Amino acid sequence: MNLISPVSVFLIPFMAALFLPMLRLFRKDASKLFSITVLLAGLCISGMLLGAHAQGGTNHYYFGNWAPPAGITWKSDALSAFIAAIVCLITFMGACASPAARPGAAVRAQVPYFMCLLLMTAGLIGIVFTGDTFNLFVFLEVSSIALYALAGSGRDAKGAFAALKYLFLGSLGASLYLLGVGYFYAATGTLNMDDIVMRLQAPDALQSLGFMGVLLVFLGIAIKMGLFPFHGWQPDAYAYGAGPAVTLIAPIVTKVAAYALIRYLFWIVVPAGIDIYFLLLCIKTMGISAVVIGSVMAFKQQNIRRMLAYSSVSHMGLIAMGIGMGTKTALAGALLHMFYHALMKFGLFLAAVEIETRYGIKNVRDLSRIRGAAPLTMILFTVCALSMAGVPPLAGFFSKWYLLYAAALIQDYLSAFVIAASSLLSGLYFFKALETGLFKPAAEQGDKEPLPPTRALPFFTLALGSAMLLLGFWSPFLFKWLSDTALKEIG
Amino acid sequence: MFLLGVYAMLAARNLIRKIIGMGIMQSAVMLFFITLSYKWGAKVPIVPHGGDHEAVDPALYANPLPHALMLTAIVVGVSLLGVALVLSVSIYRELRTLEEDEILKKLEDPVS
Repeated sequence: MNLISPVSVFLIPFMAALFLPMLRLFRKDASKLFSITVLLAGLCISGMLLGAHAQGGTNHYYFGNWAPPAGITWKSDALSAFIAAIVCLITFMGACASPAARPGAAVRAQVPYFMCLLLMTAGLIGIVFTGDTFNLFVFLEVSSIALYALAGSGRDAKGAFAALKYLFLGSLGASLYLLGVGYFYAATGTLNMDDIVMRLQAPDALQSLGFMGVLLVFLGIAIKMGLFPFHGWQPDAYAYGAGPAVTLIAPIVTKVAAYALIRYLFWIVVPAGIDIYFLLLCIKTMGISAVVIGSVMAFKQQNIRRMLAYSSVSHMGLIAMGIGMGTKTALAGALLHMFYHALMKFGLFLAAVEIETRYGIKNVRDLSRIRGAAPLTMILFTVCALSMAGVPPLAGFFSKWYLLYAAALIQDYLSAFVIAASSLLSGLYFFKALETGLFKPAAEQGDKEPLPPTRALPFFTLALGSAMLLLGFWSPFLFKWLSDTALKEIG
Repeated sequence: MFLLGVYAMLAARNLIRKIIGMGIMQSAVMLFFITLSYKWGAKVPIVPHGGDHEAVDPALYANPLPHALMLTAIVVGVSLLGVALVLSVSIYRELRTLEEDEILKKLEDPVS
């Protein structure tokens, strides 16, 4: 079997997750090191896969050598390789940032935590690469179950309740998605994505069933994606879930769901000839409201992580606007923003969780207490916050710029205005946090002795900070690559 | 039936009832799939063992694919149930209640 294939990117974390408990027999605290190694291997292979698809082209893997449409097909093309690389990168960094090395951390709890982490990665990779609709549901649920367990892994009931809420809403989303798959199956008799397209293109196809399917699939994915007004689980889950787990989850899961939506809308539904103009308009409207309302809510928040959660809602709105606009330029901008936002959110949550575990600070107004005490963490927070607000030449500016460009190309001035305004709005709440943290005179110190910082933090600050700058300069090439190669098949 | 489950998830005060609602919702989806596979007067999709090995006419048998898919979905539902119950136990251990309004009240007290 060829090593550079989508299946290996999936199998490595999956098999590792299954073998992880056995490691405890050899070395008690090897879980974190093992996971990091495994995820690094996955990252390398997904990077090589991305390189193999640099010029486009697809790679198929037929499970059990059953030819489609009877068997399950996995295909990787430039788009899925791109998303898979992002997933591998973020999970690798998230595993590095997990608290196994912290003094006093319970060793016994590490194994389930890292198992769930690896399973979640495997599930997300499965979603990215699969070419079969039901297979997508399976991996959606695999990753989601690992997610709910990870999010609820903290010691307190608040986190458990937030994770439970996420579970209810997430399973509602997955069930809606499954219903949608059922409608597609009823319309075409097949589960293979390419085959669905072919059968729906036939002149006597039951397109109305297909449209109903799209609607349900969209509703399901919208809940998983955290698209307004279906974002109900996000603020609590991100604010109260276990800290390191949230750092891992928050950046990628919603992005993978958005990718699934893009795959459905533009690779299955549009080629099949189903008219989704109105649906795209709805998506765009939801995106616009998400941007505005998410930003307003973020500004009102006291809890840092809750503010970041609403910020995610509003940026997801930006991505939704890109999807809703439907042109190749807009989609490339949305994908670029997915990538940058994943990195930025990761950095922000890393900094926020760091501050929370070291100093016990949860609220924005308490940030002044650590003025001058945690320079690297604040640098990380500042750089990522500025990038989120869209300050050039950091990366965030460019993804918003391309979305703006796409909106102007189709003369959608409302969207353009909202995108531009989103920078201002993001700036509002981030600058409030930055002002409190950097400029306010230090208030009275708490009497808790701060814990030592995570060992890897300087590395992350350096890596993410320089990534923001470098990606900023590299953006035009990335954008061109995305719109030409990854999205080649879209009109 | 689906909406009944969703309503139960939203409106029930006790967490366990919400979980039951989730189960109802998932069962509704499974029933939907299974009804897709039925045909008028269909036979059970099992070929008798060692019987005549002539070609069988697939149109006479009920479609077994949705059944297989729903087996997978049942397994998924069971795991979801497991995780939901674990989280509920975790909540109960600390807060000593499973009623949603009491939980919310207890969680509000130490304002974050």
